[in-house]
Amino acid sequence: MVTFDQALPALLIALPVAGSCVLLACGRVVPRLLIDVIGTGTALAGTVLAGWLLYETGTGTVTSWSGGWEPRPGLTVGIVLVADRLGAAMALLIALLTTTALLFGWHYFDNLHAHYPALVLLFATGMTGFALTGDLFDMFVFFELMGVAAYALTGLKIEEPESVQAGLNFGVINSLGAYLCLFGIGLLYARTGQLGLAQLGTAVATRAGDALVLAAFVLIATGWLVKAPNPTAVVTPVRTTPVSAAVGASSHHGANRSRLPIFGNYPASLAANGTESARWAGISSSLAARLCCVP
Amino acid sequence: MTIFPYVIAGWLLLIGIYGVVRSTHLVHTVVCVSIGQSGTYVLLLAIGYQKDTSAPIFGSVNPPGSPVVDPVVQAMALTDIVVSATVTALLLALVVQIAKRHGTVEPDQLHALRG
Repeated sequence: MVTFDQALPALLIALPVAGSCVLLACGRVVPRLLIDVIGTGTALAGTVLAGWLLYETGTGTVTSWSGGWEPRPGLTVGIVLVADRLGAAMALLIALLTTTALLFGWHYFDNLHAHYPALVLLFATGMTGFALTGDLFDMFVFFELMGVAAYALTGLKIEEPESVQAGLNFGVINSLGAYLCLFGIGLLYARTGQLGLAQLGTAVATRAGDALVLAAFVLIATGWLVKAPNPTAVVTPVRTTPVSAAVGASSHHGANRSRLPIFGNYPASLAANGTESARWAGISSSLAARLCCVP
Repeated sequence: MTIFPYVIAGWLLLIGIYGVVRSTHLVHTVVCVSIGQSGTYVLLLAIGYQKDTSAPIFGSVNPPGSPVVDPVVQAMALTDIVVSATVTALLLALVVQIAKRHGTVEPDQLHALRG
């Protein structure tokens, strides 16, 4: 039996998806006020749930196996969501930023279509999933979901030449970065046979000088570096949509999160030659990208 | 294990990136992104491949427990293909809008943004 706190991570992902589906289904017929209320209401509900999840993680990590597919000896097929304190705090930050971005949209857009709140909610879904997943491949999937919503948000004002060009630039470069990451993920799986972050951390800890593991981490780190600092894409939406702060924050968080669980267990010898500097390069470049969003 | 499929996977990714860099038409750019992603399909399937085994579908011919190729990477490749379809559709839609707003689909002719 799944308890309510175990259902929280899954609810945090399902709720915004449901909200954006409702918005897209009836966005053409309902008045503007109702669109705003549904969008912001969903985001607010998500914020409350994220706060609750953060409270629950105070007593220990919340783990949720989707559909009750818990691992048994010799059989691990489930999809896992893991909310530790950092992940839950990030989910709360994401939900708060989403609510703020949607509130800002109330008066920012003269003629708002349901696309904007629906895309922002999908974007929030991708980010939340990214913060809460316990599995390297699902991180890639959630990243792509977040990415696709972000490309569409960047090109939201399709009547403006800058907006569509920025959307395409962002889409192409981000996708190439994601494929480099996926190459790294594939190589890690090939070497260790694991995709779960916790299992991967244990498996990698015993393989200090393994060239293939090193190559995989170089690919993943390069992929994040390609994706995180993308000034043309990140700066432009400042003028087009009020979500750039969230884009910056998410890529910054992404750059960190991908490293924290695995690199934490990685031997210091490897961290000394390259990985550590890559990590700092990632953090500083994504901070720079975020600073670009401030004006 | 043979190294051949891994070389193909790396080559597809690199030729895709090369195509994006050297592209003179935005539709060509988007197709090159897809080609780069095809490299990841080849890599994933190569990782899970085992000689003389069948697809991971169990039935009367193939009772549970008999050797099959790794289903995890097959599921990953399938997800990857879905992601690719979404990204390609969205990028092509943006190309259509760029053609309308800029009147050109040549990357070097787009002057709205200066990096």
